[in-house]
Amino acid sequence: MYEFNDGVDLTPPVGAFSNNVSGYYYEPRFTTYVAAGGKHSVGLCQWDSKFDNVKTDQIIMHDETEDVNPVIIQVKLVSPNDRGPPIVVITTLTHVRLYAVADTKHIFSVRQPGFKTKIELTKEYEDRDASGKTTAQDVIANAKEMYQISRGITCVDSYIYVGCNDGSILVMHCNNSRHVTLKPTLKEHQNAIIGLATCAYDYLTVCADVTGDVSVWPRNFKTVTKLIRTKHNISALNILRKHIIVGNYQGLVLLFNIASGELVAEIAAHGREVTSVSVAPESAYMLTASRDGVVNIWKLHTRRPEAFSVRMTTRD
Amino acid sequence: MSSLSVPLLIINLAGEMSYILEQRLKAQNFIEDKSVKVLHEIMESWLNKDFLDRLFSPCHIYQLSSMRQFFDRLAHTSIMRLNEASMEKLFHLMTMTVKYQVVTVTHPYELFNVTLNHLDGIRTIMKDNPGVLEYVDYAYTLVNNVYFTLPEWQMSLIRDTMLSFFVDTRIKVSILLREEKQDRLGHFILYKDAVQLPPKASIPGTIRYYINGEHVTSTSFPVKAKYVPNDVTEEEYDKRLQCEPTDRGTALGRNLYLSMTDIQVTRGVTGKDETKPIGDEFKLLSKLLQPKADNLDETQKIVLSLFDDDDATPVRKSSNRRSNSSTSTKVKISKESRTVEAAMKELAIRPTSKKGKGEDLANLLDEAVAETTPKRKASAKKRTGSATSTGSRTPSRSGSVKGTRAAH
Repeated sequence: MYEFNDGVDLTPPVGAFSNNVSGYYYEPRFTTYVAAGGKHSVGLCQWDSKFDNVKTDQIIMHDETEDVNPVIIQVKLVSPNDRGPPIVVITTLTHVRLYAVADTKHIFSVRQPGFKTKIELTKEYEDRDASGKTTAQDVIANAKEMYQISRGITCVDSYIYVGCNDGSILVMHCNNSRHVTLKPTLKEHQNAIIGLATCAYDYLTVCADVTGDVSVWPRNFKTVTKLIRTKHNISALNILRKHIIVGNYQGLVLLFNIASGELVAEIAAHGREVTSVSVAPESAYMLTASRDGVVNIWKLHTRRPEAFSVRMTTRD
Repeated sequence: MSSLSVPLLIINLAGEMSYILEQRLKAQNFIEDKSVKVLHEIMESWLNKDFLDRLFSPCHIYQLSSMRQFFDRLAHTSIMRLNEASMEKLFHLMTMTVKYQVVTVTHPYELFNVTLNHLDGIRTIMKDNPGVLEYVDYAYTLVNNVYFTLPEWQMSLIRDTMLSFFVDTRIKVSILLREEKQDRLGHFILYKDAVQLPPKASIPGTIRYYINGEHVTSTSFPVKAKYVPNDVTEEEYDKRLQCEPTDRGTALGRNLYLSMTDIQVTRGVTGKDETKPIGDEFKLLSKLLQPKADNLDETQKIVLSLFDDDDATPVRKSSNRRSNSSTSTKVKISKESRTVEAAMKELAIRPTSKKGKGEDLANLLDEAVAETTPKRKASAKKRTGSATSTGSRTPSRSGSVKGTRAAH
């Protein structure tokens, strides 16, 4: 029923992190844009409605000061103002960066909150080391995660929201396509955020953290309207009409009602962790992808999802 | 991206290296005590308290090229000297096997079991060296305490980081090709018959509906693949994680080379690393690899060529800088156009070149000079994506190799 149609070869090989590919359809010019994150650079391509005029480009990440290689974590195309072509939001190991797709020009960067330089961390270790012989317990206590990465990118009106490792949400406001200001971060979750998603119709945004808590925000992001404790280890998140769709590490896809917070359906969909959930709001289709190499296509009929399963070949 | 993936990467890669070296040293019939000495010295240089403590302290993720330099240095902490091609093949073999393990684990926590398998394997190889065994236990303590309590999302991030480390490395390795784990293009074949599910996962195919928190109905949908559930109990699972060598519940990480006589590595694609390597990160760890003092005596070196799969290729003559070592330091490069079938055939007809290597070595030890050490460092840095183009290659060879390298 579904088969491979066409492909575009991008210069950087696609990276290993999930949610590093994003598509955007720009209506005024009938152009589809795609951004795919490699390890150190993002490949961009665009085509028109007949899959002609395919153009490809590349944004290479540079890191001026740090001695860290700027590995790319997540990539998303957003449109903070409807008139212009989209902006690509790239989260890397050290920063969150915004680029214009049209001319690959850098617009804005913000440092990841909580990022410590290597020098700071080495000093901590050496201070401890100087005090005497280190025991196994010391080593274990010192073996801390060094990186604070951001996952979860969404856009509502002219604001871009990015979820952070400490549970806060970065807020950036775009006046026009070139001028971006950083607004106060939103603090609601205490654990790393895994995903952000906005409903195209009612502009409700959901935000999930790694412990399974999902917060629901209204369009103005004033305050959380609902907090749902799903008690699942969430690996992917999206929203479709009245349902929050959540994927977990055991391959389950769960649907929660956004108003009541109740579990509506539980689908044993995949044999590995669910890496991404995509939705087509107008037609109520949902796609779930997993590390088992299968993309499932679901149709949501108010209550009952029906599935069409598609197998794709895996690449390493 | 997780910095906690570094210790796991190094332990798994070093484990694979020990398996390969043990097998190759045996296969090439080295003098028993010399080969034992080589292995022990290499293991002792990283299985000690200082190194392990430093390894587990927070550090940046390395790139493949830096990791290669590190293992270069590790391999040379003993009296063994590897030529450039052997080192490259060794590294490719190690990398591809560990990559296969990371890609095929059913769930992120299984990486822990794979690491324990490697530690068990090292224990077997080092069974006569109580000093090293003590530090294997120490490494186990560190691994257990650091990783065992991590939440699933963090373990998943560690796994993703390791995958990111290996991105775009596709080198064909005969073991994996033979066992149908890799196809002709170097991609992994992940699921042959059925998909093994992670623990606590339900078999795909059902949808359960709930109203007011109560399960109401279930429907099912057709699923193309076959799934095998994982029935391990909590008890059994905990037993697999104990310190003593035991069945860890997975074959990944075990010594596959025990029953093998030959290993081949074909040319493949290694990802282009265009960013410059991180400043002194690796130098710190590398400095902690202490070679034994008596290794500095150059006349004691064993010069080793690990992979004899190219005996059909005529030995390069005087244009080869290493012409003084006529038998054991042939530079082995598989032909670009060789197909899998040809490679497999060679497995069968490989002539035994074990013609009393011991005696040859004794002669060679006089001739051999530590010629490659400074040059190798320079050549390792010049790796630009082509797996063969290194500074020390002679023009004639690099010309022919490059000529056959079609657009990759």
